[in-house]
Parts: sequence; C-alpha cells; structure tokens
Amino acid sequence: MEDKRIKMDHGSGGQLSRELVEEIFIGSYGNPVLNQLHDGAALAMQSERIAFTTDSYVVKPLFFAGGDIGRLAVCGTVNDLAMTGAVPRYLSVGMILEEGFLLSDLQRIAASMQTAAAEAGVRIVTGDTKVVNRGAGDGIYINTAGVGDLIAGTSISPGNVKPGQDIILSGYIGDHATAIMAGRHQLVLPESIQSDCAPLGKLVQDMLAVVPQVALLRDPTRGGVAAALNEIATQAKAGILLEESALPVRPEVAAVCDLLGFDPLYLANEGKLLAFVDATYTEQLLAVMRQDPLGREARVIGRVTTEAPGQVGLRTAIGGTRLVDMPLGVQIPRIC
Amino acid sequence: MEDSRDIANFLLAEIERLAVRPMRLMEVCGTHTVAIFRAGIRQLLPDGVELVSGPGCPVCVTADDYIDEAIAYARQEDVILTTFGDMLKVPGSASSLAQAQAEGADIRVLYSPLESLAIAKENPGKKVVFLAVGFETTAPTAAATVLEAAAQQLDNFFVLTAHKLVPPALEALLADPQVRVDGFILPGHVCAVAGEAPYRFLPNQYHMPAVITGFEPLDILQTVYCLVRQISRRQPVLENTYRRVVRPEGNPAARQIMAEVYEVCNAEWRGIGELENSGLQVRPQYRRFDARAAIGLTVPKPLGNNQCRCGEVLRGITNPRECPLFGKVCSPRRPVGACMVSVEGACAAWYKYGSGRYMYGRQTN
Amino acid sequence: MAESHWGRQRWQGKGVGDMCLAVPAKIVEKKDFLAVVDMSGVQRQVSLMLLPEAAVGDFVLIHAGFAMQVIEAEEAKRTEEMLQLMRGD
Repeated sequence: MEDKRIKMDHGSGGQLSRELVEEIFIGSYGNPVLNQLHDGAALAMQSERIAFTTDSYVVKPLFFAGGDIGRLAVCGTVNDLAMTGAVPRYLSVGMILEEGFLLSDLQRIAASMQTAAAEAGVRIVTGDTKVVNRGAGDGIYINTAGVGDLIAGTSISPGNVKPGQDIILSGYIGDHATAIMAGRHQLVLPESIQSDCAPLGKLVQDMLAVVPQVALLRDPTRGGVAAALNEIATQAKAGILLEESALPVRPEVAAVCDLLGFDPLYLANEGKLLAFVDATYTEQLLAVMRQDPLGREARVIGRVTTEAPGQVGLRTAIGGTRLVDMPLGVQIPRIC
Repeated sequence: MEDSRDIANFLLAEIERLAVRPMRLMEVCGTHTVAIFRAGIRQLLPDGVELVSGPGCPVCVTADDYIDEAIAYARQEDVILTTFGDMLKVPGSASSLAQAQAEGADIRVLYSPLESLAIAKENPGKKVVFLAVGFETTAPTAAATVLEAAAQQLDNFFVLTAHKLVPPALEALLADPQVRVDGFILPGHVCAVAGEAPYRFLPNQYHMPAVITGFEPLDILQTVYCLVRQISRRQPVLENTYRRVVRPEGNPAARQIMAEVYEVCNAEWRGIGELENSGLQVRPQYRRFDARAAIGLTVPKPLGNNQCRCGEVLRGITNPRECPLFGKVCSPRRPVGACMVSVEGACAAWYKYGSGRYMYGRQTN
Repeated sequence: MAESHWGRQRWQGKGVGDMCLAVPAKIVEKKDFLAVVDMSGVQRQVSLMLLPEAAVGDFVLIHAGFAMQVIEAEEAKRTEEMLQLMRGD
C-alpha cells in the first residue's frame, strides 16, 4: 500500500478496505477461519457451556511501557473469559479508525495483537473496520468480543462468596495505571514500571485444575482492587476485610502514588486477578499460582467476614481500620 | 514493623492512661484529616479523646466567589486556566470548574505551578492564569513561579490569588466562644516553611497545648500522646514531633521569596468570615503577574447562601454528620459545599472513609 | 517472595528510625536552582529556588515541584526517645 495514512476509502468496503484487511489484519493475525473473510466465523466449541464477553478499548496513550492498545484489547477480553472460569478460544475485533491515522501505528498494533493472541492461545476469527472523519474519532477505538469453553466441575460466581474465605491477589498492583501516567506531570519512570498487561487464561486453568473449589475470580481493572471488591461485597452481600501490610505495591508505584496523592487500591491493573477460596484450600492454591510467572507474587490480602456485610474495610499497619469506598471517578493529582 | 506496632501500642496505652477527662483535639490541616482517617486512628483512641477537623484545608476555606471568579477567567477565549486538581469540583454559586471544562473551557490540572510557565511559552497568544491557593506551604511555590516568570520575561502568565495564612484563623477560632478545643495538632509542612515562632502564641497567650506534627500514623499518634500528656500536666507548651523536617526557624529562603512577591492582606474565609491580615496578595512591583490587575474581569457577587454548615464544620463546632445535608443532598458526587469536594475536606473524608456511617464495621452513629 | 512494600514504606521496615516520610526524595543531580530527585527509582526535576543550599545526596521534602526542606537522617532520635520512654527511662 502506498498510502501512509488511513483514508475514508479504507472503510468503504471496497478495494482499499480489502487491501487493508489483507495486508494488515490477515498479515498479522490471520488463520484459516479469518482468512475466509466470510461474514461470520463458523466455529466448533469444545464445551456445551460457553462464556461470552465484550469490551472496548480507548486507552491513551496508544503505546506505553509494557504494551499498547492492541495487547490490551486482546488480553482484556481473554481475561474476562478466564474470570468466568472459561478457557478463552476465539475473539472478534472491531475497529473504528480516524481518518489520518498512521498505517505504521496500525501495523504495530495488529502485530501486538497477534503476539498477545498467541500467548493467550486464542484466535481472532472475525472482525470489522470502519473509518470516521478526521476529528470524529480519537485515532483508534477497538472493541473485542470473545468466547471460551467453561471449565467443567467449577462454579465461579459472586453467589459463592462466603465468610471463611481468603482473598488472594496474584501480584503487584498499580503497575498498569502508573505506566500509562509516564510523561505526565514530568515524571520520569524507571524501566521497572511496565504495564502488567498479560493473558491470565493459563494461570486460571492451572488454578482450577488443582483447586476446582475456587468460588470467584475477578480481575481488578478500572477502579482497581477497591472497585472490584466493592462490587463483589455488594453483589454477595458479604463483608471484606483487607490487611494493609499485605498489599503488594512496588516502591516505584508507591512513590508515584505518594507524589500525586493516589491510592494504589484504586489504580487499574491488566494482568492481575483476585481469587476467593475457602481457607482450607489457600496454601494449595498459592502453591500452584506461584509456579506461574504471572502468579509469582500471589498472596492472601484479606478475607471475607461476617461483620459489615457489603462493606470493604482495611486494617491499617498500626491496627486501626478504615473503609475502602467505591471510587467516584478518575483520580486527579492533589495539593498538600 | 514490629517496632512500630510496639510503639503504637505503647502510645495508645499511655493515651488511655492519661486521658482522664474528655478532650477535643483539633487537627488544623486537611492533610492530617485524611492521614488520620487512612490510618484508622479514631477507632484506636479512647472514646474521651475526640479529634475534630479545623480550617486547614485550603480548598474548603475558599469562598464561593473565588470559584465564580476562576470560572469567569476560564471561560475567556484567550485564557488557559491552570490549577491543582482539588479545585476542579468545588462548587461556586452556580457552576464548577469541572463543569466549565466539560462545556469547553481550557482548564488544565497540574502538579506544580511551574508547569504553567511551559504552557505559557507554548501558547504565546493565550493568557495562562494559575489559581494560586494554599497556605504557607504552597504560597512560596507560587511566589517562586512568579519570580521565574519574571526572570524568563514572560508576559502571558498570571496568578489569581487566594492564599491564606493559618495563625490568624487559629486566633479567630480561639476568640469564638462557640469553639471548644483543648489542643492543636499543627500542620507539619506549613511549619516546615514558617517555623515554630508563629505558633508560640498558642501556649503563651492562650495556654493552649500545641504540637507540630508530621503525616505518618506514628507521627500523629505521638502527637496525640504529647497533647494528652500536656493536658494532664496542665503545662501547655509548643512541641514538635516532626523535627526531621521542621526546624525551629523553618525555611527562611522560602519565606523571603514569599515576602518578595506577596504582601499580607485581609481575606475572606468560608464559614468564618473576613479575617484581617490572613491572606496574601501580589505586591505592586509584581502587579503585571496579578490576573486581577492585568486582566481584571468583573465578576458579579453571588447572592445568598445555602444550608451547608461548612463554616461550623471548619471551626470544629459541628461534626460533618450533623450537617443536615451530609450524605443526603450533599455527597462527593453532588457536593453542596467545599468541605465535601476536597479530598482533604472534613466532609469528604468522613464520607469516603466512613461512608456516611463513620467507621468500618460500626452501625450508624 | 518480595514483601509488601505498601505497608512497609509507611514504616521503612526497621521501625521509625529511617526516613519515615513516605517518599524520601534523594537529590541525584543539581545544576544551579534545578535538581533531579529520585524517589524509589521515579525521577523528577524539582526547583531548588526555595532550598538553594540543598546538595546532591540530601533527602528532601518535595511539594508542588519544589524542594521545601532537607530531611534529617537523625530521625533515629525519635525512635530512641520513644524506646526510652517505653523502657521507663
């Protein structure tokens, strides 16, 4: 293709559209199903019960330490499937491109999606591309939907959350949100801060193979651990108590938080999960998690209690307690 | 870690032992309000030791008309308004900066006022107006930014000032018969600049125990212990548990820069009224950086007020929960008063950390 | 397994002896009134206009992009005091 940038014609369904799909999308993540370029993908699933999810991605900046919007689009949907207790299988990719978007960026994003898909063991089998006028979009928006096979013998649901369960977190929190912030407010972040964007399908499969009794899985994305746990506490009508001293936060991330007045509990993560499991299975579950690079730092951060149903509390390092409320909106830097 | 728990337990035991009668300690600084909640200190203290919030949150004591003024400047086509994040959601008489931003005003949140200068250089056709709020910790940073703008000969950078000074507010509180306070937890970073001298009047003139305090949970616990000890001995003095940062003489260089650019003036404190010599304004020789002098918009004064009891909350007279609007009409999502907006505002802190129910695990108080 | 830093950094591990401050910012470069500080690997330029005497190697309190005061390493003082009190000295 000679054109360096996306034109309205690329979205018209005509020759330019076709070329775009063949060169960039099939070129990056093609496979026998996608390559047919049929209106829809005919698929065989392995399980009678399947999981289905969708998400849209509008992150800025598009490229950041540890990932980009493409990787995010694949891992985000893969992880949602994993959190329902499914083996992720197939993804669709819908893109809305702004006229003028650089083809080289699109190429980079597509390549990244292929890498992520291969890591996750999924295939992108169908898609759609539209182009909007310059000014009517923000470069690129991506929607992915995904299906997966629900793992038999498991029951993952907020309804299973009960007092006596431990809450396990798979690793460091706040990495993704902090990596996105690099460059803002003139902060120079060390290379050790990278988005944690990663597919969790295999980790979840290994976990459920050893401990099928896992009650609930949730990935703490937007709104962080605080939002995820508040939702669960409300849905399950259960109380949750966390231990401040158990929360895994990298020193660099803690430094950015202290500087800008953020709380790591409210920062987004893209490669972490929370698992609720009866305390009798905790050690077993931790052992299997720690064998996976994505679960190396797994630990118990709290438990489900009988007190204060619907509330999430935190026991502080000096032994006090405070409420961890649902976040209202975006965190903004504050003075003092 | 064990050391710290031991120290905390020791301090709490001593506080329990020494606090034989009920007492009310005022934390003046908004950052302390948040720190106290985040550490969960209130639950650990004996019932008789009450911590109340004071007027030390710069956003909370900002009057309605300052927000109206800021919005008016922001709405000018050729103005880029720069501000700390806190001010964004504070309600003015009719709107807020966040709303003005959603309606198209160019408002940018920054971490340092110096970021305004870069914006000014990148936008020579625009006027960059910085909302210069804050107490003695932040005022020098704004003043230094003005000096830097002067050194770089910028002609499109301005400050819209609403700085306040802490000691006059404390004096006003002590003169108010409705206010009952037995000791002060003094703001550590304000004192890092101002030093100890401006606060000696508390024990010397008012026999009021006062302790300059840092922001770690142990700093605050140690201060409560010192205050309780002072009260039990009936020997009020000015103590400093934040010596690693606060020198008795403070930071003279910072004060010098503040004095170079700013002069003391009267200021309007939300909920308290006008206090003499409690604010800072730009000196004549730097008027070219004063938005009010150089741009000078006239902004209509807001009429009337609302039922918000921010004023009483700020003076420690009323607990946020006692304000009729708290948690119902007034919440962080729809704040009526400034106390509910600022992360450090007493009402917001009570709401966030107590979810309107005061504490984790306890039923409605 | 790495220990939790979030709880730890409030206490800096061995008690309140070292930099109790949540983010000790160490000056790693200085040129006239500008310095680069390092906070656990995160770096930012800060102004020394309010603290011109600060030197490379100092730990400083930063606020709104300015160094405000040098943090004394001898906070061990406070731990000592507290421990003495506890022992009943």
